[in-house]
Amino acid sequence: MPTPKVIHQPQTQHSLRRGIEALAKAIAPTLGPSARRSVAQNQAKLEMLDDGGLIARRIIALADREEDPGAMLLRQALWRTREHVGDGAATTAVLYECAHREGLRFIAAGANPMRLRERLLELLPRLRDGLLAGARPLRSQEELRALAFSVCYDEAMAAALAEALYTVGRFGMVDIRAGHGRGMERDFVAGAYWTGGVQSKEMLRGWARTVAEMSDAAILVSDAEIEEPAELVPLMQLALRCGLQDLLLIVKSISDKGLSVVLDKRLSDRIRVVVVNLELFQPDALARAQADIALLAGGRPVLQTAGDSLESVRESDFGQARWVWADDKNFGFASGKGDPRQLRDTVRRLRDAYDASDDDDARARMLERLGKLNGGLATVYVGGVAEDEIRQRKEIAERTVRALRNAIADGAIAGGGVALLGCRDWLLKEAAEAEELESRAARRILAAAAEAPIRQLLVNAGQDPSEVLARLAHCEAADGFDVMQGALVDVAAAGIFDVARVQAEALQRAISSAALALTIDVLVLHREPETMTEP
Amino acid sequence: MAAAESMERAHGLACAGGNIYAARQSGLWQACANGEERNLYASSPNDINTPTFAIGLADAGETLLAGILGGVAHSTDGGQTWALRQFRRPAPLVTALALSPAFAVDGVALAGTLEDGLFRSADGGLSWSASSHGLFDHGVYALALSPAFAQDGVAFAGTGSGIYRSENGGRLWRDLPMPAGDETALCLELSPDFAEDATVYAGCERHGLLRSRDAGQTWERLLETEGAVNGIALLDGCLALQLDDAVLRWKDGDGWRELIEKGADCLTHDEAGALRVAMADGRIERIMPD
Repeated sequence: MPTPKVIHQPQTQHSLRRGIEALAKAIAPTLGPSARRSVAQNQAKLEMLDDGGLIARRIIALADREEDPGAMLLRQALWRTREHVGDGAATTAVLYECAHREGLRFIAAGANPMRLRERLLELLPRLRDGLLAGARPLRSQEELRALAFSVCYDEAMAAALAEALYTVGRFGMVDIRAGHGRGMERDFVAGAYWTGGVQSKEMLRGWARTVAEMSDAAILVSDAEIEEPAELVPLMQLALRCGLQDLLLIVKSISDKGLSVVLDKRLSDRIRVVVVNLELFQPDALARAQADIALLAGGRPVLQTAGDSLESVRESDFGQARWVWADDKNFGFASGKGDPRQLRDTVRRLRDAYDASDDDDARARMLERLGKLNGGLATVYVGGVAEDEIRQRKEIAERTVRALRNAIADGAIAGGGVALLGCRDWLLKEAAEAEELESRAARRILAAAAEAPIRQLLVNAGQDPSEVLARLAHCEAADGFDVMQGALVDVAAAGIFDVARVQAEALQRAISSAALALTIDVLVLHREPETMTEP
Repeated sequence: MAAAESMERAHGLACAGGNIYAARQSGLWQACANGEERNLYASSPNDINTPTFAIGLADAGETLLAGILGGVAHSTDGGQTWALRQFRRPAPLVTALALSPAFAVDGVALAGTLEDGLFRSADGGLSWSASSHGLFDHGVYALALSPAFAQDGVAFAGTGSGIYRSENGGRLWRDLPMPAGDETALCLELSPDFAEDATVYAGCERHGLLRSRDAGQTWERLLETEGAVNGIALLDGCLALQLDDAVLRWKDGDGWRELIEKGADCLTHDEAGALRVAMADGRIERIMPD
């Protein structure tokens, strides 16, 4: 077992550098539409990976424990980028590696690492503004398709996802599921649905496709855990008194004895009751689901936690929807009779809160709610030959959906590294005029970083970066290199886009993390480094 | 069949190809140049004699869509034969229809329903699917499409609690900020020069006549009324509106003037620029606003 070890300069930066290079070189080849792939050995299997974020996730430690800290610093930056914006890991890796490499050069030439970091962080907002200067909203389905392709590099997937997002919008729900065929299929579902199947196959009897469907049905949602038949009797009596013909009863759980009441022929001849449960929901999710159902369908949730009971249900507690369905796994409804004003106000509040929040988990929860309150959702079925392929394609599809949401929200910039390359000239001009070594160094580091993504794209596509960059220097600012066609083009006109938010996040995360890494003087290596699947 | 024999109130009125079409309780009626009306459904072999609530016309009246309970009746031969295009269950009542100005090319039509939101067809009205993404109120009373709909994809929907706009051909809807927050918009009319002036008129149940000059972003109240504004028609140089069962017209420099005191059911304008008003006694009046 290795003993603890303390490493000092200059060995510290050499160790970090080796680790950063090792990870960056595994990920950089995945940048761009003609990217290469990496292979990861996962126990007995070999996994083909073309997503930088996934590669970073698979590499949980390097064998050389002196290299490991550098790789883990980069890995953390990559993972944070991916978690925050869903994509951009490869760009982050390329920018990070370049900024770190160039930074070490200037430190070796006498630059103060702390001051250099300060100068880099001072310049970062201006560079970010320069990057986003040309951002524009994507309006058409075709533009969304082009952007989706730049993320997933799969024509069929790009077309299906662009249509889905174009239809349901930025806050709409796109459910990515494993398909049965090899291709992509998509479907649009009216209304909203939740996980929770019917509690007895008897309730599906008589319907085609084993889906219970009801028109103009009443809906009652409760957190009741029904054990005894007697608990349901007053509710059923009330339903009969109210003249209800169809009732969807949503409870937390129900026993077989409880079910016997609603399945009793004397009752089922007069009222059709479908019972679904929300047993699998965690308490927070359960409360959200109950609130959303009541918001959409009207009525009032009957909550035992608030002192209600099924005996105290009144007619006004029933919600209603024009179309209600339930199968063995899910239930849903469309055209609920909730108050549209209340629904609109809730959705507006949620949208504002979503945009104001930095908490990824909270945003995910709000997005899920907004998707359900949106009036409809899209389901995209991802096919493939083998289970592994379908799983990988699903992950890529989810990443693409997130990129499309970001693009609809914040727009897109010219792709292929052109937007960042456009900042290189003013950085070099200012570097020539700067007097302080660190100011000059910071500008030169960022100028090199501005060139790094397009260089890597060209390398990955088998092109000579120096030659193409020399040709680009004599072109219009909007021109870039289409690596698929192997030609200089107006990138926006050619539909080559990058998601503005992803690129900005990659830039911010890479430069600030690399600048921090440059200031590390000492490494303390423990006997057994901690390994984490989630950085 | 003469108009006097029908004597039914009209739910909707539309003009195309020199003919006037009226959506009535007994079906879709066509008024010919000689003033006679014939029930187009009755002329169909299917004989779908069904209450009709909305009309959509294209190709100078060759393509006809009629909003009925359960979906739309669809004819591509000027009403000689009909096919029923049913929407998903439960049977929705189609209250508003709008066809793309480039319907012959893009085949896009929108249908608003009383309780089930919006439906969209992109194949000339043959198949329909729910298209209520972003719509919080599923009671749709009015639809209006941009004259350049095929290019800009802009559509408006008036509901029981506000107005919604779509910018992608009626797939996704976004609620618009309204002066009183929750106006029931009964009718909508877009300027013929909407692409340039972005002007939209909305007739409300309680809040009078509204106008927006920025495609619905902000609204001004043009006319405060005690009754409901049930219909709007933009004519050359003037604006006609149906206030409860009266008809008024507004002209620059002349202000508001009453054209019909009472008894109006619905209004539209014909291709010659005349106002057409369906009256409660079944007649269809022709009025030159000047």
